[in-house]
Amino acid sequence: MIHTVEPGEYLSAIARQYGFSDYRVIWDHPENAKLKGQRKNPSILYPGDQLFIPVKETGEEKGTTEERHRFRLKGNGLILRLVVRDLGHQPLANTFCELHVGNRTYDLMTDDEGRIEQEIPFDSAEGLLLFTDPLIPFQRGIRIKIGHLDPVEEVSGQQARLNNLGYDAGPVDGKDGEKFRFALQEFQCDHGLKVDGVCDAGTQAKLEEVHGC
Amino acid sequence: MPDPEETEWQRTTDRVVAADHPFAEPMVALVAPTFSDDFNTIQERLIPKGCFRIEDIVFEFDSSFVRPEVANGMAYLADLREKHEEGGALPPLSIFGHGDPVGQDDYNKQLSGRRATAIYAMLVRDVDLWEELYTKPFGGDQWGNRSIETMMGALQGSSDSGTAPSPGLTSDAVKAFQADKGLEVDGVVGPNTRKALYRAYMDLLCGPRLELDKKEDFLARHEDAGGKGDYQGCGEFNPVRIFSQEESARYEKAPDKTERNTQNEPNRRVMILLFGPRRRVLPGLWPCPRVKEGPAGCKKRFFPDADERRRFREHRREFDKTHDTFACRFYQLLTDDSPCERFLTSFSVRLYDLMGRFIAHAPCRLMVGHREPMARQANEKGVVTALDVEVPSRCRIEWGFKPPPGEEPEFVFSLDVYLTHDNLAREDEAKQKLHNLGYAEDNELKLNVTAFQQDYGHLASPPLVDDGVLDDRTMDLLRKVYGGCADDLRSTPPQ
Repeated sequence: MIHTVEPGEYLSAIARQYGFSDYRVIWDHPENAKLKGQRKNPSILYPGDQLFIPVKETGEEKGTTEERHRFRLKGNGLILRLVVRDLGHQPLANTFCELHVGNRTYDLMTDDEGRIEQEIPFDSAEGLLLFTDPLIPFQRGIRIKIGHLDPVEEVSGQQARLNNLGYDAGPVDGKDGEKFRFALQEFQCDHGLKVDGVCDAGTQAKLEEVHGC
Repeated sequence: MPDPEETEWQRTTDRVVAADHPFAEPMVALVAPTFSDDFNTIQERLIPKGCFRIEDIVFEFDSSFVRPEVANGMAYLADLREKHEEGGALPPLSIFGHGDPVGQDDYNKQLSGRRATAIYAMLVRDVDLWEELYTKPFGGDQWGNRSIETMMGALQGSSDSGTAPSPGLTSDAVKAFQADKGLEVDGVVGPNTRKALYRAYMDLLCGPRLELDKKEDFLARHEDAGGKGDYQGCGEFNPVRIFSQEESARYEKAPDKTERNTQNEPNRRVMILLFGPRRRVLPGLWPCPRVKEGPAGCKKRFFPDADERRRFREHRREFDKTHDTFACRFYQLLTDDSPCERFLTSFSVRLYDLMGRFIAHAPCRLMVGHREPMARQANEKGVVTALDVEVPSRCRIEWGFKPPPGEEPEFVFSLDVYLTHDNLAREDEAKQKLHNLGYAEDNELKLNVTAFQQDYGHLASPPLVDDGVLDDRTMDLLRKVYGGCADDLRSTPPQ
């Protein structure tokens, strides 16, 4: 059957929804080869994308939770990785924070590069990143919407990345408005690209590189 | 002390404007989880919390010397800083000097940079920076003896010592100052005396609440010796008003540049932006060049259509209406919704009866824009003042005669008044002044001009011809009658 991707959906959450413990059964399926080639990152899909969901083989059922735990390699879990920087583009290093995802709370500390990474449930959606120390030069809490980042080829994906990077691209609405173009120009200027407010392949690549995905 | 809860706080005098920036929505980050090594970068946005505008009138013409009249507005900067305090830390500042489009790019960048430097130095009490401005004049910016006299005069005027020292720059006055400051008493204003003078003058203008620290109180934390990130000159690149082609050509032809300079006045401002407490930027990543550098760095940050933005076009343009007068994108993104880049001021009106006599202590009601009606009473000269008014706007004024004691006032007169910054395109200025004088708004301008010439033309010499032409003499008289606040409109010659 075909599943049409909704906003905020990403592959591991969809896989979970259909009872698949391993998203790769879906992602590596030949019927999804075209989409896989286009999107590349199974966690960054675009609303409207058509995903082929194969019939679940009964053998799959045997992979119960215990088995998954026993054989799970370090890389199999779904990870949320954030790099936090202050106004001066400096990493917010070695700083305590709380990551709230769903109804769980993780007490974390950013590393030297301002990075936190945390394994999260496969179907995580909303979250909150809180800096508990009021003396930290950063906005106290940031709402995070997991899985809502669109592909960089789409305007909404470009807007979201620009906003994350501290530019003001306006609301993430997929529309090529003035704020978006000005934010693009700032980004291009900051990164030595041609400043024209047009997010061509080169600008997209740079945006993906600087943002991290 | 301002109420921290009070949003959209604004204060103005005729020299400064202090205001909160509109509330910025908290950041929401849309992120992607991963099974591999992707990450999402989240960086804070550079958003001003408030702004403080210093008007051109605070400086000597074409100069970076700061006049003493700025003193009564500086308290609002102190208020604004305190209002945005968080966890014991005050907001860091960055200063932007602006010039008008007259003259070359380079010249204007330097002059606006000198003004930004002068304000910065004043706030942090850096007397060496002022000495450098003094000893190295630039074009028309020559501090010279006049600045020394002004500073001495201001200090003497403020001192409440019993002895009346000799005014001005007399040797005695200088000696008295030197003695007071423990300097060598020789009656000569040399570098040491000057620096002591600067310091005392800066203290006078800023007061103890505004003695700022280079590291703690400015955005780049004094990481750069040239002030990069802390203060900069934008030259003529971000005017709030750009003339029409017609105006520009007219000013070009006129031998007397007074009107042009007056109309350009709003452009020659110094803007101080306040940022979130504890925030800092790295000079290396700050787009603005240093005050002493040329405009090449500025031009890198221009909009792609900067030339079109800077051009004189068919109509006059003003930033708060068209949002297209700034050439620098970085500056526009910081100030796009800043109240300080709008025309914001106080206004006074004098209230008259039907016979043209002012009404002392007139009770009145002001409804400015969408604000709540304000009940006021005019003073003994019939003048009522409203502060913190956004301009341009309309105001409805209702007024009447002073009621007998114990009785409620009756508002028998009413008028919709246009509130404008003094410097409008000529025809608009005439229209509004004529309207405020009581000529019907609906009438064609020519009709009202003719009526005005008939009513007041005898006050000019030789008397005006009532031909309905808005020539220089008619305009001149209109301004005099309107602004002269004559006791009796019809018969007293305007001052």
